[in-house]
Amino acid sequence: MEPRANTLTGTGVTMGGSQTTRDAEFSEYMVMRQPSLLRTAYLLTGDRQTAEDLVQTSLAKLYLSWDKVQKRESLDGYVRRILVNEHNSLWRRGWKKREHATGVIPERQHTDAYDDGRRDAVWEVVQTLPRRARAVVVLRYYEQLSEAETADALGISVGTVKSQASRALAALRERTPDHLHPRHLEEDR
Amino acid sequence: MNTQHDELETLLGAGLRDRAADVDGTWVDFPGVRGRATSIRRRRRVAAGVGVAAAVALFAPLAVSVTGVLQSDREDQPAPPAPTELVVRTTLTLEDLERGDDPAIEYFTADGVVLPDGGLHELDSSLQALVPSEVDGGWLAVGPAADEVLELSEDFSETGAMAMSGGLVTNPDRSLAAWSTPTSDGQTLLLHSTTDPDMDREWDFPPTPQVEAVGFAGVGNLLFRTIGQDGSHGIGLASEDGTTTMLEGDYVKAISADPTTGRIAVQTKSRADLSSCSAVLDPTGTTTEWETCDFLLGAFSPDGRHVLASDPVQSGLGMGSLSVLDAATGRLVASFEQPRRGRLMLVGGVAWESDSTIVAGALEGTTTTLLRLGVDGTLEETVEPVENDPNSDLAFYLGQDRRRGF
Repeated sequence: MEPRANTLTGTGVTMGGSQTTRDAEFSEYMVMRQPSLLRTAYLLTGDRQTAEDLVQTSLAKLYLSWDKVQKRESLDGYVRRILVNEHNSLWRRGWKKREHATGVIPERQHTDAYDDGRRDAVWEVVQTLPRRARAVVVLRYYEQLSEAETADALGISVGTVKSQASRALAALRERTPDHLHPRHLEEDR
Repeated sequence: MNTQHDELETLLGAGLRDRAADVDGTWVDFPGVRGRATSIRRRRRVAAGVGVAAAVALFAPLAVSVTGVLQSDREDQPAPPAPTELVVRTTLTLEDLERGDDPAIEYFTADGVVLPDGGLHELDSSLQALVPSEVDGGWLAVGPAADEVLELSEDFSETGAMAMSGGLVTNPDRSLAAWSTPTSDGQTLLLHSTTDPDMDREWDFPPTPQVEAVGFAGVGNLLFRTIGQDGSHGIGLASEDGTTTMLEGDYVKAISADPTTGRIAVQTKSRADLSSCSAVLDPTGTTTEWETCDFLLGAFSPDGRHVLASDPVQSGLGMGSLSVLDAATGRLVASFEQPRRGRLMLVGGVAWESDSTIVAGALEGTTTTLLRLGVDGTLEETVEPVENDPNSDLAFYLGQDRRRGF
Protein backbone atom coordinates (compact mmCIF):
# COMPACT_ATOMS: atom_id res chain seq x y z
CA MET A 1 0.00 0.00 0.00
CA GLU A 2 1.54 3.24 -1.12
CA PRO A 3 1.18 6.40 0.92
CA ARG A 4 -1.61 8.60 -0.22
CA ALA A 5 -1.08 12.16 -1.15
CA ASN A 6 -0.90 14.38 1.86
CA THR A 7 -4.34 15.89 1.95
CA LEU A 8 -4.00 17.05 5.54
CA THR A 9 -1.99 20.15 5.74
CA GLY A 10 -1.31 21.76 9.04
CA THR A 11 -4.66 22.09 10.69
CA GLY A 12 -6.53 19.95 8.18
CA VAL A 13 -7.69 17.29 10.64
CA THR A 14 -11.09 17.87 12.16
CA MET A 15 -12.20 15.97 15.20
CA GLY A 16 -15.54 14.50 16.22
CA GLY A 17 -18.60 13.57 14.19
CA SER A 18 -20.09 10.18 13.36
CA GLN A 19 -18.30 6.85 13.55
CA THR A 20 -17.85 6.88 9.79
CA THR A 21 -16.40 10.37 9.86
CA ARG A 22 -14.27 9.45 12.84
CA ASP A 23 -12.85 6.40 11.10
CA ALA A 24 -12.21 8.39 7.95
CA GLU A 25 -10.38 11.06 9.91
CA PHE A 26 -8.29 8.51 11.72
CA SER A 27 -7.55 6.60 8.55
CA GLU A 28 -6.38 9.73 6.84
CA TYR A 29 -4.17 10.68 9.75
CA MET A 30 -2.79 7.15 9.94
CA VAL A 31 -1.83 7.03 6.28
CA MET A 32 -0.23 10.41 6.46
CA ARG A 33 1.81 9.77 9.60
CA GLN A 34 2.62 6.12 9.18
CA PRO A 35 5.93 6.56 7.32
CA SER A 36 7.15 9.13 9.82
CA LEU A 37 6.20 6.98 12.79
CA LEU A 38 7.85 3.97 11.21
CA ARG A 39 11.13 5.84 10.80
CA THR A 40 11.11 6.90 14.44
CA ALA A 41 10.18 3.38 15.53
CA TYR A 42 12.99 1.96 13.43
CA LEU A 43 15.53 4.25 15.07
CA LEU A 44 14.22 3.17 18.46
CA THR A 45 14.19 -0.55 17.71
CA GLY A 46 16.83 -1.00 15.01
CA ASP A 47 14.65 -3.61 13.40
CA ARG A 48 12.04 -3.06 10.72
CA GLN A 49 9.72 -5.87 11.75
CA THR A 50 9.70 -4.83 15.40
CA ALA A 51 9.21 -1.23 14.34
CA GLU A 52 6.16 -2.12 12.27
CA ASP A 53 4.63 -4.01 15.16
CA LEU A 54 5.36 -1.11 17.48
CA VAL A 55 3.73 1.40 15.16
CA GLN A 56 0.66 -0.75 14.61
CA THR A 57 0.10 -1.10 18.35
CA SER A 58 0.67 2.63 18.87
CA LEU A 59 -1.81 3.52 16.14
CA ALA A 60 -4.33 1.09 17.59
CA LYS A 61 -4.03 2.77 20.98
CA LEU A 62 -4.36 6.16 19.34
CA TYR A 63 -7.52 4.94 17.60
CA LEU A 64 -9.01 3.95 20.94
CA SER A 65 -8.22 7.39 22.35
CA TRP A 66 -9.09 9.34 19.21
CA ASP A 67 -12.08 11.07 20.76
CA LYS A 68 -10.14 11.98 23.89
CA VAL A 69 -7.49 13.96 22.06
CA GLN A 70 -9.23 17.29 21.93
CA LYS A 71 -6.61 19.31 20.10
CA ARG A 72 -5.65 18.13 16.64
CA GLU A 73 -2.19 19.65 17.00
CA SER A 74 -1.64 17.34 19.96
CA LEU A 75 -2.02 14.17 17.93
CA ASP A 76 1.59 13.82 16.86
CA GLY A 77 2.88 14.30 20.39
CA TYR A 78 0.27 11.94 21.78
CA VAL A 79 1.06 9.08 19.43
CA ARG A 80 4.79 9.70 19.82
CA ARG A 81 4.41 9.37 23.56
CA ILE A 82 2.53 6.08 23.10
CA LEU A 83 5.27 4.89 20.75
CA VAL A 84 8.23 5.53 23.06
CA ASN A 85 6.47 4.30 26.18
CA GLU A 86 5.32 1.16 24.43
CA HIS A 87 8.89 0.63 23.30
CA ASN A 88 10.30 1.20 26.76
CA SER A 89 8.04 -1.43 28.28
CA LEU A 90 10.07 -4.30 29.63
CA TRP A 91 7.27 -6.58 28.60
CA ARG A 92 8.14 -5.87 24.98
CA ARG A 93 11.90 -5.82 25.35
CA GLY A 94 12.64 -8.44 27.97
CA TRP A 95 11.89 -11.52 25.97
CA LYS A 96 14.55 -13.47 24.15
CA LYS A 97 12.41 -14.49 21.23
CA ARG A 98 12.46 -18.05 20.00
CA GLU A 99 12.08 -17.64 16.28
CA HIS A 100 10.16 -20.40 14.56
CA ALA A 101 9.17 -18.63 11.37
CA THR A 102 11.58 -18.66 8.48
CA GLY A 103 10.16 -15.67 6.67
CA VAL A 104 12.44 -12.66 6.92
CA ILE A 105 11.51 -9.19 5.88
CA PRO A 106 14.52 -7.96 3.95
CA GLU A 107 16.05 -4.68 4.96
CA ARG A 108 16.27 -2.30 2.07
CA GLN A 109 19.74 -1.73 0.73
CA HIS A 110 21.03 1.54 2.01
CA THR A 111 22.34 4.01 -0.51
CA ASP A 112 24.52 6.47 1.30
CA ALA A 113 25.52 9.58 -0.50
CA TYR A 114 28.59 9.99 1.68
CA ASP A 115 29.33 6.60 3.14
CA ASP A 116 32.61 7.54 4.75
CA GLY A 117 31.98 5.63 7.96
CA ARG A 118 30.26 8.33 9.95
CA ARG A 119 26.85 6.78 9.41
CA ASP A 120 27.99 3.44 10.75
CA ALA A 121 29.76 5.05 13.66
CA VAL A 122 26.66 6.98 14.68
CA TRP A 123 24.43 3.97 14.27
CA GLU A 124 26.74 1.74 16.27
CA VAL A 125 26.76 4.21 19.12
CA VAL A 126 22.98 4.61 19.05
CA GLN A 127 22.45 0.85 19.06
CA THR A 128 24.57 0.39 22.15
CA LEU A 129 22.79 3.05 24.18
CA PRO A 130 20.45 1.95 27.00
CA ARG A 131 16.84 2.02 25.92
CA ARG A 132 15.79 5.25 27.57
CA ALA A 133 18.97 7.05 26.51
CA ARG A 134 18.33 5.91 22.98
CA ALA A 135 14.82 7.30 23.13
CA VAL A 136 16.23 10.61 24.35
CA VAL A 137 18.68 10.74 21.45
CA VAL A 138 16.05 9.90 18.85
CA LEU A 139 13.59 12.46 20.16
CA ARG A 140 16.20 15.19 20.65
CA TYR A 141 18.33 14.80 17.53
CA TYR A 142 16.04 13.11 15.03
CA GLU A 143 12.63 14.43 16.00
CA GLN A 144 14.30 17.74 16.96
CA LEU A 145 12.24 18.06 20.13
CA SER A 146 13.37 20.45 22.82
CA GLU A 147 14.70 19.12 26.10
CA ALA A 148 11.39 19.96 27.78
CA GLU A 149 9.36 18.26 25.05
CA THR A 150 11.57 15.19 25.20
CA ALA A 151 11.22 15.05 28.97
CA ASP A 152 7.46 15.35 28.68
CA ALA A 153 7.21 12.60 26.07
CA LEU A 154 9.27 10.19 28.12
CA GLY A 155 7.90 11.14 31.50
CA ILE A 156 11.34 12.02 32.87
CA SER A 157 12.95 15.21 34.12
CA VAL A 158 14.72 17.73 31.92
CA GLY A 159 17.86 17.04 33.93
CA THR A 160 17.68 13.38 32.99
CA VAL A 161 17.27 14.32 29.34
CA LYS A 162 20.36 16.49 29.55
CA SER A 163 22.46 13.85 31.25
CA GLN A 164 21.34 11.07 28.90
CA ALA A 165 22.04 13.19 25.85
CA SER A 166 25.40 14.25 27.22
CA ARG A 167 26.41 10.63 27.80
CA ALA A 168 25.36 9.69 24.29
CA LEU A 169 27.46 12.50 22.83
CA ALA A 170 30.41 11.47 24.97
CA ALA A 171 30.08 7.92 23.68
CA LEU A 172 29.96 9.22 20.13
CA ARG A 173 33.05 11.32 20.76
CA GLU A 174 34.91 8.29 22.08
CA ARG A 175 33.90 5.90 19.37
CA THR A 176 34.04 8.08 16.30
CA PRO A 177 37.30 7.49 14.45
CA ASP A 178 39.55 10.52 14.60
CA HIS A 179 39.67 11.04 10.86
CA LEU A 180 35.85 11.11 10.76
CA HIS A 181 35.47 13.52 13.62
CA PRO A 182 33.50 16.63 12.70
CA ARG A 183 36.45 18.85 13.43
CA HIS A 184 38.72 16.94 11.04
CA LEU A 185 36.08 16.89 8.34
CA GLU A 186 35.74 20.61 8.65
CA GLU A 187 39.48 21.05 8.33
CA ASP A 188 39.55 18.82 5.22
CA ARG A 189 37.10 21.02 3.39
CA MET B 1 34.14 22.96 23.63
CA ASN B 2 30.65 24.12 22.79
CA THR B 3 31.52 24.08 19.12
CA GLN B 4 32.62 20.49 19.34
CA HIS B 5 29.46 19.65 21.28
CA ASP B 6 27.34 21.28 18.57
CA GLU B 7 29.23 19.42 15.88
CA LEU B 8 28.61 16.13 17.57
CA GLU B 9 24.93 16.97 17.88
CA THR B 10 24.86 17.78 14.20
CA LEU B 11 26.65 14.55 13.34
CA LEU B 12 24.24 12.57 15.46
CA GLY B 13 21.17 14.18 13.90
CA ALA B 14 22.53 13.75 10.38
CA GLY B 15 23.44 10.13 11.04
CA LEU B 16 19.99 9.32 12.36
CA ARG B 17 18.23 11.08 9.50
CA ASP B 18 20.45 9.28 7.03
CA ARG B 19 19.68 5.93 8.61
CA ALA B 20 15.95 6.62 8.83
CA ALA B 21 15.83 7.64 5.19
CA ASP B 22 16.09 3.97 4.30
CA VAL B 23 12.76 3.27 5.96
CA ASP B 24 9.58 4.29 4.27
CA GLY B 25 6.29 3.04 2.97
CA THR B 26 3.08 2.00 4.62
CA TRP B 27 2.33 -1.57 5.41
CA VAL B 28 -0.74 -1.61 7.59
CA ASP B 29 -4.20 -0.51 6.57
CA PHE B 30 -7.03 0.84 8.65
CA PRO B 31 -8.78 -2.54 9.13
CA GLY B 32 -5.49 -3.92 10.49
CA VAL B 33 -5.13 -1.14 13.05
CA ARG B 34 -8.80 -1.33 13.98
CA GLY B 35 -8.46 -5.07 14.47
CA ARG B 36 -5.61 -4.61 16.90
CA ALA B 37 -7.53 -1.84 18.64
CA THR B 38 -10.48 -4.20 19.05
CA SER B 39 -8.18 -6.77 20.59
CA ILE B 40 -6.73 -4.20 23.02
CA ARG B 41 -10.21 -2.97 23.97
CA ARG B 42 -11.39 -6.50 24.62
CA ARG B 43 -8.44 -7.11 26.90
CA ARG B 44 -9.14 -3.90 28.76
CA ARG B 45 -12.72 -5.02 29.31
CA VAL B 46 -11.50 -8.33 30.58
CA ALA B 47 -9.23 -6.49 32.98
CA ALA B 48 -12.15 -4.38 34.10
CA GLY B 49 -13.98 -7.40 35.39
CA VAL B 50 -15.74 -9.33 32.68
CA GLY B 51 -13.03 -11.93 32.38
CA VAL B 52 -12.20 -11.87 36.07
CA ALA B 53 -15.74 -12.97 36.86
CA ALA B 54 -15.29 -15.89 34.49
CA ALA B 55 -12.01 -16.78 36.13
CA VAL B 56 -13.60 -16.69 39.58
CA ALA B 57 -16.33 -19.00 38.35
CA LEU B 58 -13.74 -21.35 36.89
CA PHE B 59 -11.84 -21.61 40.15
CA ALA B 60 -14.86 -21.81 42.44
CA PRO B 61 -15.71 -25.45 43.01
CA LEU B 62 -18.39 -26.69 45.31
CA ALA B 63 -17.28 -27.60 48.77
CA VAL B 64 -18.91 -29.42 51.61
CA SER B 65 -19.59 -27.14 54.54
CA VAL B 66 -19.44 -28.05 58.19
CA THR B 67 -23.15 -28.71 58.07
CA GLY B 68 -22.76 -31.04 55.13
CA VAL B 69 -24.73 -28.81 52.79
CA LEU B 70 -23.28 -28.15 49.38
CA GLN B 71 -22.53 -24.51 48.98
CA SER B 72 -20.73 -22.42 46.43
CA ASP B 73 -17.60 -20.40 47.10
CA ARG B 74 -18.55 -17.85 44.50
CA GLU B 75 -17.63 -14.36 45.58
CA ASP B 76 -21.08 -13.00 44.77
CA GLN B 77 -22.58 -14.97 47.62
CA PRO B 78 -22.08 -13.84 51.20
CA ALA B 79 -19.57 -15.91 53.07
CA PRO B 80 -20.98 -17.85 56.01
CA PRO B 81 -20.01 -16.45 59.38
CA ALA B 82 -16.94 -18.18 60.73
CA PRO B 83 -17.39 -20.16 63.90
CA THR B 84 -15.87 -18.25 66.74
CA GLU B 85 -14.50 -21.05 68.88
CA LEU B 86 -14.61 -24.24 66.83
CA VAL B 87 -11.29 -25.79 65.91
CA VAL B 88 -11.61 -28.72 63.55
CA ARG B 89 -8.90 -31.35 63.95
CA THR B 90 -8.36 -33.93 61.23
CA THR B 91 -5.86 -36.78 61.06
CA LEU B 92 -3.68 -36.90 57.98
CA THR B 93 -3.99 -40.33 56.40
CA LEU B 94 -4.65 -41.83 53.01
CA GLU B 95 -6.67 -44.68 54.47
CA ASP B 96 -10.36 -44.84 53.56
CA LEU B 97 -10.37 -41.43 51.95
CA GLU B 98 -13.26 -40.59 49.68
CA ARG B 99 -12.53 -39.52 46.16
CA GLY B 100 -13.60 -35.96 45.46
CA ASP B 101 -13.70 -33.92 42.28
CA ASP B 102 -10.54 -33.44 40.28
CA PRO B 103 -8.50 -30.41 41.40
CA ALA B 104 -9.96 -27.14 40.22
CA ILE B 105 -6.42 -25.89 39.63
CA GLU B 106 -3.87 -27.23 37.19
CA TYR B 107 -1.31 -29.76 38.35
CA PHE B 108 1.69 -31.37 36.75
CA THR B 109 2.67 -34.99 36.19
CA ALA B 110 5.66 -36.62 34.54
CA ASP B 111 3.76 -36.46 31.24
CA GLY B 112 2.57 -32.89 31.25
CA VAL B 113 -0.02 -30.64 32.80
CA VAL B 114 -3.59 -31.51 33.74
CA LEU B 115 -5.90 -28.55 33.32
CA PRO B 116 -9.16 -28.30 35.27
CA ASP B 117 -11.24 -28.13 32.14
CA GLY B 118 -9.09 -29.84 29.59
CA GLY B 119 -7.45 -33.00 30.87
CA LEU B 120 -3.82 -33.89 30.27
CA HIS B 121 -1.76 -31.82 27.86
CA GLU B 122 1.60 -33.37 27.14
CA LEU B 123 4.60 -31.06 27.56
CA ASP B 124 8.10 -31.31 26.18
CA SER B 125 9.67 -30.26 29.48
CA SER B 126 8.85 -30.23 33.17
CA LEU B 127 7.37 -26.78 33.55
CA GLN B 128 7.16 -25.40 37.07
CA ALA B 129 4.12 -23.16 36.54
CA LEU B 130 1.58 -22.41 33.86
CA VAL B 131 -0.59 -19.29 33.75
CA PRO B 132 -3.12 -18.58 30.99
CA SER B 133 -2.55 -15.32 29.15
CA GLU B 134 -5.76 -13.64 28.07
CA VAL B 135 -3.69 -11.17 26.09
CA ASP B 136 -2.75 -13.54 23.30
CA GLY B 137 -4.49 -16.79 24.13
CA GLY B 138 -1.16 -18.34 25.06
CA TRP B 139 0.54 -19.04 28.35
CA LEU B 140 3.14 -17.75 30.76
CA ALA B 141 5.22 -20.54 32.22
CA VAL B 142 8.17 -21.12 34.50
CA GLY B 143 10.90 -23.22 32.94
CA PRO B 144 12.18 -26.54 34.32
CA ALA B 145 15.09 -24.91 36.15
CA ALA B 146 12.81 -22.22 37.62
CA ASP B 147 15.18 -19.53 36.35
CA GLU B 148 13.19 -18.40 33.33
CA VAL B 149 9.70 -17.16 32.58
CA LEU B 150 8.61 -18.62 29.27
CA GLU B 151 6.14 -17.23 26.79
CA LEU B 152 4.18 -20.06 25.21
CA SER B 153 1.73 -20.11 22.34
CA GLU B 154 -1.72 -21.61 22.69
CA ASP B 155 -0.34 -25.05 21.79
CA PHE B 156 2.46 -24.73 24.40
CA SER B 157 5.21 -23.97 21.88
CA GLU B 158 7.87 -21.73 23.37
CA THR B 159 8.00 -18.31 21.71
CA GLY B 160 10.10 -16.36 24.18
CA ALA B 161 12.02 -16.50 27.42
CA MET B 162 13.02 -13.99 30.09
CA ALA B 163 15.49 -14.60 32.91
CA MET B 164 13.91 -14.69 36.35
CA SER B 165 15.24 -14.67 39.87
CA GLY B 166 13.26 -15.64 42.93
CA GLY B 167 10.24 -17.16 41.29
CA LEU B 168 6.92 -16.17 39.79
CA VAL B 169 4.02 -14.84 41.86
CA THR B 170 0.40 -14.47 40.76
CA ASN B 171 -2.78 -13.16 42.34
CA PRO B 172 -5.70 -15.52 43.00
CA ASP B 173 -7.51 -15.03 39.70
CA ARG B 174 -4.12 -14.92 37.97
CA SER B 175 -4.86 -11.71 36.15
CA LEU B 176 -1.53 -10.43 37.51
CA ALA B 177 1.90 -12.01 37.52
CA ALA B 178 5.17 -10.61 38.83
CA TRP B 179 8.81 -11.55 38.87
CA SER B 180 12.27 -10.05 39.00
CA THR B 181 14.55 -10.07 36.00
CA PRO B 182 18.17 -8.94 35.54
CA THR B 183 18.79 -6.07 33.13
CA SER B 184 21.91 -4.64 31.55
CA ASP B 185 22.39 -2.17 34.38
CA GLY B 186 20.62 -3.76 37.33
CA GLN B 187 17.38 -5.59 37.85
CA THR B 188 13.74 -4.86 37.30
CA LEU B 189 10.69 -5.98 39.20
CA LEU B 190 8.03 -6.58 36.57
CA LEU B 191 4.30 -6.68 37.18
CA HIS B 192 2.45 -8.06 34.19
CA SER B 193 -1.27 -8.19 33.61
CA THR B 194 -2.30 -11.35 31.79
CA THR B 195 -5.42 -9.54 30.64
CA ASP B 196 -4.32 -6.00 29.79
CA PRO B 197 -0.77 -4.96 28.84
CA ASP B 198 -1.60 -1.36 29.70
CA MET B 199 -1.60 -2.36 33.36
CA ASP B 200 2.02 -3.52 33.29
CA ARG B 201 4.33 -1.84 35.79
CA GLU B 202 8.10 -1.85 36.30
CA TRP B 203 10.38 -0.89 39.15
CA ASP B 204 14.10 -0.60 38.49
CA PHE B 205 16.73 -1.57 41.08
CA PRO B 206 20.53 -1.56 41.20
CA PRO B 207 22.31 -4.91 40.66
CA THR B 208 22.47 -5.62 44.39
CA PRO B 209 20.87 -6.62 46.67
CA GLN B 210 18.92 -9.27 44.80
CA VAL B 211 15.22 -8.46 44.51
CA GLU B 212 12.50 -11.12 44.51
CA ALA B 213 8.74 -10.77 44.17
CA VAL B 214 6.78 -12.15 47.13
CA GLY B 215 3.12 -11.38 46.47
CA PHE B 216 0.42 -8.81 45.85
CA ALA B 217 -0.42 -6.71 48.88
CA GLY B 218 -3.76 -5.14 48.03
CA VAL B 219 -4.56 -3.50 44.75
CA GLY B 220 -1.52 -2.25 42.87
CA ASN B 221 1.08 -2.98 45.54
CA LEU B 222 3.73 -5.62 45.10
CA LEU B 223 5.55 -7.03 48.12
CA PHE B 224 9.19 -7.88 47.48
CA ARG B 225 12.18 -9.00 49.45
CA THR B 226 15.82 -8.17 49.04
CA ILE B 227 18.72 -10.50 49.75
CA GLY B 228 22.14 -8.93 50.21
CA GLN B 229 25.42 -10.60 49.35
CA ASP B 230 25.98 -11.00 53.10
CA GLY B 231 22.66 -12.85 53.39
CA SER B 232 20.82 -9.90 54.95
CA HIS B 233 17.12 -9.66 54.14
CA GLY B 234 14.95 -6.64 53.52
CA ILE B 235 11.25 -6.24 52.79
CA GLY B 236 9.75 -3.62 50.50
CA LEU B 237 6.54 -2.50 48.88
CA ALA B 238 6.46 -1.41 45.26
CA SER B 239 3.53 0.92 44.71
CA GLU B 240 1.42 1.61 41.68
CA ASP B 241 2.79 5.15 41.49
CA GLY B 242 6.24 3.77 40.70
CA THR B 243 7.78 4.28 44.13
CA THR B 244 9.24 1.65 46.43
CA THR B 245 9.30 1.71 50.23
CA MET B 246 11.42 -0.49 52.46
CA LEU B 247 9.72 -1.63 55.65
CA GLU B 248 11.30 -0.75 58.93
CA GLY B 249 11.58 -3.56 61.42
CA ASP B 250 13.91 -6.40 62.17
CA TYR B 251 12.22 -9.15 60.19
CA VAL B 252 13.79 -12.42 59.10
CA LYS B 253 12.02 -12.44 55.74
CA ALA B 254 8.78 -11.70 53.92
CA ILE B 255 6.53 -14.74 53.58
CA SER B 256 3.38 -13.76 51.69
CA ALA B 257 0.89 -10.99 51.05
CA ASP B 258 -2.87 -10.85 50.78
CA PRO B 259 -4.18 -9.31 47.56
CA THR B 260 -7.59 -8.75 49.11
CA THR B 261 -6.80 -6.95 52.37
CA GLY B 262 -3.18 -6.00 51.77
CA ARG B 263 -1.99 -7.79 54.91
CA ILE B 264 1.62 -8.97 54.96
CA ALA B 265 2.96 -12.14 56.58
CA VAL B 266 6.55 -12.04 57.78
CA GLN B 267 8.87 -14.29 59.72
CA THR B 268 9.97 -12.38 62.79
CA LYS B 269 12.33 -14.82 64.49
CA SER B 270 14.52 -17.73 63.49
CA ARG B 271 16.11 -19.63 66.35
CA ALA B 272 19.07 -21.97 66.55
CA ASP B 273 16.74 -24.91 67.27
CA LEU B 274 15.11 -24.25 63.86
CA SER B 275 11.95 -22.90 65.48
CA SER B 276 10.53 -19.61 64.34
CA CYS B 277 7.94 -16.93 64.93
CA SER B 278 5.73 -15.19 62.39
CA ALA B 279 3.54 -12.11 62.32
CA VAL B 280 0.84 -10.51 60.21
CA LEU B 281 1.36 -6.81 59.50
CA ASP B 282 -1.15 -4.24 58.37
CA PRO B 283 -1.10 -3.23 54.67
CA THR B 284 1.41 -0.45 55.29
CA GLY B 285 3.79 -2.82 57.02
CA THR B 286 4.08 -0.50 59.98
CA THR B 287 1.81 -2.22 62.52
CA THR B 288 1.85 -5.80 63.75
CA GLU B 289 -1.72 -7.08 63.85
CA TRP B 290 -0.79 -10.35 65.55
CA GLU B 291 2.23 -12.57 66.10
CA THR B 292 2.67 -16.27 66.79
CA CYS B 293 5.52 -18.57 67.73
CA ASP B 294 3.26 -21.65 67.47
CA PHE B 295 3.19 -21.61 63.69
CA LEU B 296 5.17 -20.63 60.63
CA LEU B 297 2.81 -18.77 58.32
CA GLY B 298 2.20 -19.45 54.66
CA ALA B 299 -0.15 -18.10 51.99
CA PHE B 300 -3.39 -16.19 52.49
CA SER B 301 -6.64 -17.63 51.14
CA PRO B 302 -8.00 -15.93 48.00
CA ASP B 303 -10.65 -14.09 50.02
CA GLY B 304 -8.11 -13.02 52.62
CA ARG B 305 -10.02 -14.58 55.53
CA HIS B 306 -7.53 -17.33 56.31
CA VAL B 307 -3.83 -17.96 56.25
CA LEU B 308 -2.04 -21.29 56.04
CA ALA B 309 0.38 -22.30 58.76
CA SER B 310 2.69 -25.17 59.56
CA ASP B 311 4.89 -26.29 62.43
CA PRO B 312 7.21 -23.55 63.60
CA VAL B 313 10.06 -26.05 63.45
CA GLN B 314 11.09 -26.87 59.91
CA SER B 315 12.77 -30.25 59.57
CA GLY B 316 13.31 -30.10 55.83
CA LEU B 317 11.23 -33.23 55.37
CA GLY B 318 8.00 -31.45 54.55
CA MET B 319 5.31 -30.28 56.90
CA GLY B 320 4.44 -32.40 59.91
CA SER B 321 1.09 -30.68 60.19
CA LEU B 322 -0.90 -28.14 58.29
CA SER B 323 -3.14 -25.56 59.93
CA VAL B 324 -5.53 -22.83 58.88
CA LEU B 325 -5.62 -19.64 60.94
CA ASP B 326 -7.98 -16.69 60.95
CA ALA B 327 -6.01 -14.04 59.05
CA ALA B 328 -7.43 -11.18 61.11
CA THR B 329 -6.75 -12.61 64.56
CA GLY B 330 -4.42 -15.59 64.27
CA ARG B 331 -7.02 -17.88 65.84
CA LEU B 332 -6.63 -21.56 64.92
CA VAL B 333 -9.52 -22.63 62.67
CA ALA B 334 -8.50 -26.05 61.37
CA SER B 335 -5.62 -28.39 62.04
CA PHE B 336 -4.53 -31.38 59.97
CA GLU B 337 -2.27 -33.48 62.15
CA GLN B 338 -0.14 -36.58 61.86
CA PRO B 339 -1.61 -39.81 63.25
CA ARG B 340 -0.51 -40.73 66.75
CA ARG B 341 0.42 -44.17 65.45
CA GLY B 342 1.17 -45.67 62.08
CA ARG B 343 2.75 -44.17 59.05
CA LEU B 344 3.49 -40.50 58.80
CA MET B 345 2.32 -38.57 55.81
CA LEU B 346 4.64 -36.19 54.02
CA VAL B 347 2.71 -33.10 52.91
CA GLY B 348 4.28 -30.74 50.43
CA GLY B 349 3.39 -28.30 47.70
CA VAL B 350 0.35 -26.71 49.31
CA ALA B 351 -1.90 -24.32 47.35
CA TRP B 352 -5.24 -22.63 47.88
CA GLU B 353 -7.77 -24.10 45.44
CA SER B 354 -10.65 -21.82 46.46
CA ASP B 355 -11.58 -19.57 49.38
CA SER B 356 -12.21 -22.64 51.53
CA THR B 357 -10.24 -25.53 50.05
CA ILE B 358 -6.56 -26.36 49.76
CA VAL B 359 -4.84 -28.84 47.47
CA ALA B 360 -1.65 -30.48 48.70
CA GLY B 361 0.71 -33.16 47.53
CA ALA B 362 0.86 -36.12 49.89
CA LEU B 363 3.22 -39.07 50.19
CA GLU B 364 2.54 -41.93 52.58
CA GLY B 365 4.98 -44.78 52.29
CA THR B 366 5.36 -45.12 48.55
CA THR B 367 1.86 -43.96 47.73
CA THR B 368 1.31 -40.43 46.50
CA THR B 369 -1.77 -38.41 45.64
CA LEU B 370 -3.18 -34.92 45.71
CA LEU B 371 -5.41 -34.17 48.69
CA ARG B 372 -8.16 -31.62 49.11
CA LEU B 373 -8.27 -30.14 52.60
CA GLY B 374 -11.23 -28.03 53.59
CA VAL B 375 -11.20 -25.15 56.01
CA ASP B 376 -14.07 -27.11 57.60
CA GLY B 377 -11.70 -30.01 58.29
CA THR B 378 -12.75 -32.25 55.42
CA LEU B 379 -10.10 -34.39 53.71
CA GLU B 380 -10.41 -36.21 50.40
CA GLU B 381 -8.41 -37.46 47.44
CA THR B 382 -8.64 -35.54 44.21
CA VAL B 383 -6.69 -37.92 41.98
CA GLU B 384 -6.16 -41.66 41.93
CA PRO B 385 -3.20 -42.48 44.22
CA VAL B 386 -0.18 -43.97 42.48
CA GLU B 387 2.88 -45.84 43.64
CA ASN B 388 5.77 -43.43 43.66
CA ASP B 389 9.29 -44.62 42.98
CA PRO B 390 11.20 -43.43 46.08
CA ASN B 391 14.10 -42.39 43.86
CA SER B 392 11.93 -40.24 41.64
CA ASP B 393 10.24 -36.90 42.03
CA LEU B 394 6.67 -36.86 43.26
CA ALA B 395 4.24 -38.07 40.61
CA PHE B 396 2.11 -34.93 41.06
CA TYR B 397 3.13 -31.38 41.76
CA LEU B 398 1.47 -27.97 41.75
CA GLY B 399 2.54 -24.80 40.01
CA GLN B 400 5.30 -22.80 41.67
CA ASP B 401 3.23 -19.62 41.81
CA ARG B 402 0.38 -21.45 43.55
CA ARG B 403 2.41 -23.11 46.26
CA ARG B 404 4.28 -20.05 47.43
CA GLY B 405 4.31 -19.15 51.08
CA PHE B 406 6.15 -22.06 52.70
